[in-house]
Amino acid sequence: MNEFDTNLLIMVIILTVIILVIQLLLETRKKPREPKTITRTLLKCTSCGETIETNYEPGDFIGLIKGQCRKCGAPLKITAVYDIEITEK
Amino acid sequence: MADWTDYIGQLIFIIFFILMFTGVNQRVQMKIWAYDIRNKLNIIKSYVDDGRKRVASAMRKLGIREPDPIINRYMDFFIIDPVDKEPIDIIRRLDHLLTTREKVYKGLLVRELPEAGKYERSLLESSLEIIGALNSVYKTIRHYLLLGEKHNNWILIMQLEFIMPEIMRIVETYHKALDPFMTGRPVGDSAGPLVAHRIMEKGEVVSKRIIEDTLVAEVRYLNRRIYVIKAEGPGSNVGKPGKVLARIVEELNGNIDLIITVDAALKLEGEENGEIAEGVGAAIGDPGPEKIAIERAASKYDIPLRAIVIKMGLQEALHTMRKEIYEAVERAVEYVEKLILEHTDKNSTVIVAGIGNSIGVAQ
Repeated sequence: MNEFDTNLLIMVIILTVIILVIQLLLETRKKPREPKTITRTLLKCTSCGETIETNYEPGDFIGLIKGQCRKCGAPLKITAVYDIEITEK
Repeated sequence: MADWTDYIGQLIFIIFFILMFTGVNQRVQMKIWAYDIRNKLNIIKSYVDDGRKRVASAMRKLGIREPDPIINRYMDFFIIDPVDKEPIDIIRRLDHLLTTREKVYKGLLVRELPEAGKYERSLLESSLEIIGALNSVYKTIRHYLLLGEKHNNWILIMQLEFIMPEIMRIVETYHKALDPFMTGRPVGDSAGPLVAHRIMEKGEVVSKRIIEDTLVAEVRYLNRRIYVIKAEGPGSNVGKPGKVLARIVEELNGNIDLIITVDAALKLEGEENGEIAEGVGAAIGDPGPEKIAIERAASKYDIPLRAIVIKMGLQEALHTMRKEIYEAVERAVEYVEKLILEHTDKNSTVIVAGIGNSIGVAQ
């Protein structure tokens, strides 16, 4: 009985040490997953107030007149450029 | 006859005992920590190298054949703090140093890129500042790691190991900030200038002028005369909102009923991104000269000085503006309107200063 207990104790200690080392290694390598984002441009019609959200294009900035309103033909102005999260399916 | 497990047990105990009293366990621990720090240091180095490559590529596109000597000059550029044992005129001395640094930075790019526009140069300047900051962190961490190893100073290595996650978070934030700053997209810190921009859009702009890279617009809005101040955009620029505000106050002989500063502020852990808070004082995060200029101008003429902050993390402040920050900007505009209506009468004169980097926000 005594012999069995010592063996078991050593096995448990060795196993615990191995588990702790593996956990430590995994923890240091694990990187928190960053949510994927996409940049969108919000355009607003300077006349009728219609808003359109499109993908950001290089050169876009808030205040830039870009394109025409599909409803009334008035110029569209960029009112916001922002990042939104993409939900992965 | 003893079992082999007894011998192993005793051997482990003796080794453990020896380690405890000779300090070898600390050395082993130090080696593990140093290994981990070195791995993270290599990641920081890869960020510095990546940033260098991207900035060099952007410079080549703008016509510079040999971008490396220019990048090297920026990477190790430093500013020596003014003497603070004698605080008299320290703000003036600090302002002088900051202005000189700005002129050197800008001048160097103007000489190297005479054909490029102000917008492109401002983006390059900010990108160079980012890789300069990353390089500075890399060199500092390397210094302490090598120092700790050289003198077997396990306390130093331990402190470094425990602070590394926070440093890595900041470094990763800076590295990712290269994306908006190289492409000219508005960042979270542009919240203040965007509030100013919205007020200009909503009101009737009477006049506009640029003073020291800072826009001053006189706007007729809510039956009041509102002076809107923001850094000139859409390039990467913070302007001189404090000095310009003080100048406007002097021009109007202090006949101003209310000053409101709007800025992005770092949130505390647990607070939500985009939370808005109001207070009293100058909401501006400069090293001193701009903030003191606002405080002095307001106190000289006894003008109420109010502050509105939009809270966000460091990551949100330096990365492309998140949608929740944009929505907070819209709420902040309403908050500014509420403050103006509550604290001033019709035909009053108000100054609204949108503090922050105007990248991606025109006037």
